[in-house]
Amino acid sequence: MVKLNRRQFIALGTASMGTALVGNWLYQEKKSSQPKPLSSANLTPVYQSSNGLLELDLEARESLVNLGGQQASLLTYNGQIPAPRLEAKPGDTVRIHFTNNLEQPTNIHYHGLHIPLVGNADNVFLKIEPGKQLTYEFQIASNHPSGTFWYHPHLHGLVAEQLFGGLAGMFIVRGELDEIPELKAAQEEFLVLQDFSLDNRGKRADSAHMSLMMGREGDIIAVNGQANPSINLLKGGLLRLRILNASPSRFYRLALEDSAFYQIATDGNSFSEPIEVNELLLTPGQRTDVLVKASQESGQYRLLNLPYDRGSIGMMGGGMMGRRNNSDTPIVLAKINYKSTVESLTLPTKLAPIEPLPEPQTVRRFELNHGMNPAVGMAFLINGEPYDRDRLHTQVQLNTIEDWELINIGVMDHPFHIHGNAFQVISRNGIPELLLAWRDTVLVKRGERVRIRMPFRDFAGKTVYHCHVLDHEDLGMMGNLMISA
Amino acid sequence: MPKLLSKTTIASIAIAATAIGTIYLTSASRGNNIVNSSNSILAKDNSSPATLVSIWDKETEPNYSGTTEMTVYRSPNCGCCSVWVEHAQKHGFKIEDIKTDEMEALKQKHNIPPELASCHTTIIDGYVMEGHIPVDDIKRFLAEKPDMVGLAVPGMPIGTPGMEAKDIKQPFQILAFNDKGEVEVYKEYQSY
Repeated sequence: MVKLNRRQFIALGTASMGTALVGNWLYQEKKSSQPKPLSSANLTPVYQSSNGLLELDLEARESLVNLGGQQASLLTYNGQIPAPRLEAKPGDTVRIHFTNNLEQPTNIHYHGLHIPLVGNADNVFLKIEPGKQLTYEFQIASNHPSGTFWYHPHLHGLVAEQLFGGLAGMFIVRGELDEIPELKAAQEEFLVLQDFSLDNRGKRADSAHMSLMMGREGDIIAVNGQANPSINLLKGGLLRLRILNASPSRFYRLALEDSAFYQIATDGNSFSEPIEVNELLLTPGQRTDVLVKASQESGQYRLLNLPYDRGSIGMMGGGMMGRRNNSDTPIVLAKINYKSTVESLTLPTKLAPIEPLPEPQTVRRFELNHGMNPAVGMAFLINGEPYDRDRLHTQVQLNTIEDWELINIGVMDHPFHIHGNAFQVISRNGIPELLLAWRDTVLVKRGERVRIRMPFRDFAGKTVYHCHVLDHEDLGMMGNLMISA
Repeated sequence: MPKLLSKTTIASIAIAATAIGTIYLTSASRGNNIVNSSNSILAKDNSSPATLVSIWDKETEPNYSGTTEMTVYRSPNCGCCSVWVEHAQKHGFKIEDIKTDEMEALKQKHNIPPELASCHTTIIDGYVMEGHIPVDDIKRFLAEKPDMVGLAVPGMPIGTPGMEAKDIKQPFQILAFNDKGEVEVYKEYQSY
């Protein structure tokens, strides 16, 4: 037996974790990845609708990309990390000619969009084999809320791996909200947060070596595919940030150094008015829209990722080598540079009103934990059952309202996502939630009981609900939801 | 098939019984304690992974003559520690099973390096055994009486004892550590 001291041990990694450490740029700030102003260097291509139609070719394939100055072989849409940003308006038709050039089957989920759940729309039961094509086509209803949504693969069993490969992009619906003068005047920037694990040749880490039970995390954090980018706030001193957590498992606890956020939306759905917050916890799948005011002297805000403990196996969860560092210290995700030569724009006072939902017709209970199941062995479970594609776990009626009690009886946090319809949080651990907000993903912390209220509107069909720590989803924490007309 | 039928029947009864006013449903009958607590078939469903054959059931240290009493500390809410306890029992260990919410403090007290942490912590013969270690490897280690704090399988690799899943076997290592935080590989399972 060769003795290793701990430092060597960490650098070597182990077969059980197997994560090659390539150094976290966010600490090292290598010279090779000089920050560039996002406005000019955000190379994410944008496809916008025109004359009521958003039409594009989209190809999933493994590509060599420049990930913050480092060559990486990642899974991409159209060769881009993150994927192209799609922008449409309420009433538009969306037509995506999709080609799967991955070595695995895949499909696309339009996360947060309220569109048909069957056919070639937000249908997670589609399976597009390697080399095959499919044209997604759907209409965004004329009363669809405007907001920050996104798209990513959703083929059960492969979701975590394919997102960890990089397959994710924003889907913006531009509508009434964006016409509010203060928002229209603000400088708009988009932040896609992803993490990756690469070996020293830039190849993706093998899933077998990732911490599947905790949910895989990578030691490289990328913001729009870059390391620690800079945003130059050019006009008016008001910045609108649309932030997406596209990581399969990593939580981001966001804060600005020396400043607050003015949050205007959760999961793409706006509040009735801006809310001042100092911290924002963004679980996988969640989005937030915030305004940042350059209210001080000329200078810089650093966007920080603060430590967060999302699971308790011991004190560090998952055993990801190097994670210990990540979880102990704040990390700088991006920098916002601004000059106070112009007077800061004012914040909007009113956004879009939110109506509370009427009392539910039905209340259901969903208990979340991992455990042994006689049929499949160790799995993540909802009400003691792992996912079974042939079962209808929950059947609801279109045009009804239900309360769901989400109860986490386990030892890890589970962000719960429901496809197709947004919901409102009613209470947490029995304490009424005062903030009225629409969400599609809500964190249920270990030991917590979250009650949500949800209308099933417009679209009948079969879809799913699941934990958005995507390894948990792939390992069984998902259920089929049938919405019957 | 009879099992399935009885589940369905019970679920229907529950719905009928609570059909007035707000209905409390579960999407799966197993999660609803009120419904299935008195039902032996469902209770049996809940109890153990008896239908799964574990490769870890095989005895590889038949001549072990050391201590067989161990204390296992685990969170009352952990969904996998109890299955590891069953694994240890199958191999002849007598378990004092202590459920505590103070796992973090306990691991610190026993000098377990944070990056080696797993869910449950076992104390046997003065040694610390962290996580889902195959107990026959614990027997081998105890017989050697090495000058170490103990062994650990960090994290919760799928496929280890108490973590058996049908088709997933993650490679893992058993690590030995001393009170200086030094670590060495005690045994490696690449495929099993």
